[in-house]
Amino acid sequence: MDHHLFWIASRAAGTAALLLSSAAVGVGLTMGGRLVKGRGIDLRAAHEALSLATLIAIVVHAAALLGDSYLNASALDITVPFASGYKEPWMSIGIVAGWGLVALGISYYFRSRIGVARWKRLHRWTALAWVLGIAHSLGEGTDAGTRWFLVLTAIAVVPALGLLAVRHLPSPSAPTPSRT
Amino acid sequence: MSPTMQARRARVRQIRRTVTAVAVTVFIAVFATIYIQMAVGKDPALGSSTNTAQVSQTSTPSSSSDDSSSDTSSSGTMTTAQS
Repeated sequence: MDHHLFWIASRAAGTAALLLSSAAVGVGLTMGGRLVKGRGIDLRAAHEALSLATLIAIVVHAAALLGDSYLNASALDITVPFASGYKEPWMSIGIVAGWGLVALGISYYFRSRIGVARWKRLHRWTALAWVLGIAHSLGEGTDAGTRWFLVLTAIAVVPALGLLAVRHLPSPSAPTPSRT
Repeated sequence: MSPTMQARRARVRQIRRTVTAVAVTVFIAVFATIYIQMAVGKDPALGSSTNTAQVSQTSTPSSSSDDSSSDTSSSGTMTTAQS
């Protein structure tokens, strides 16, 4: 059992990253869509804390694989897409999603330098990185077939996906622009 | 610092503490679930504990009863599957 500890840690951190990122996306969409009034500061603090916790979980998820004696992965294998050749394309999708979430997450602290309007446009791509992360966990995740994982994932992912759909799908009640 | 600002900072600190506690709890809970799942032999990758250790032995037909006493365990190999 002890020689699997790094592998277990990586799996647990990956699941935690999926749950935390789903919560962060959900809170972010609630905030952006102004679905809750008068709690902007609380939502922003929760969104930031959840995002930072996600980034830490992603780093633990990847770094723990370096200690796994079975996979015997190198730093290159876990950071560069298509370098390892292990369970492709899911591994590379996960690496791209991880880098995407890290880069887009950290960009928050440079938004004044990037430009707030540009940063907001950039920040919307976080949703795509999150969706790639879901695809990675369902496609490659060792626990993807277990009931507890699917239930946890559904509880965390479905509400956020719903909010994402509400945000991006055209509202049927929205007035269509008429040509004059 | 104004009391409003102090209250706001305290609320933000409280949210950060809560998120940290939730994140650590989730990690520990999932870690424990996988560990127990593995210990009882129900891991999705390793399967049952009896299946993970497949002992393959090179069996040679014994011509006499004396051959059965020879040690064949040295030819056994343990293989574990992980994905």
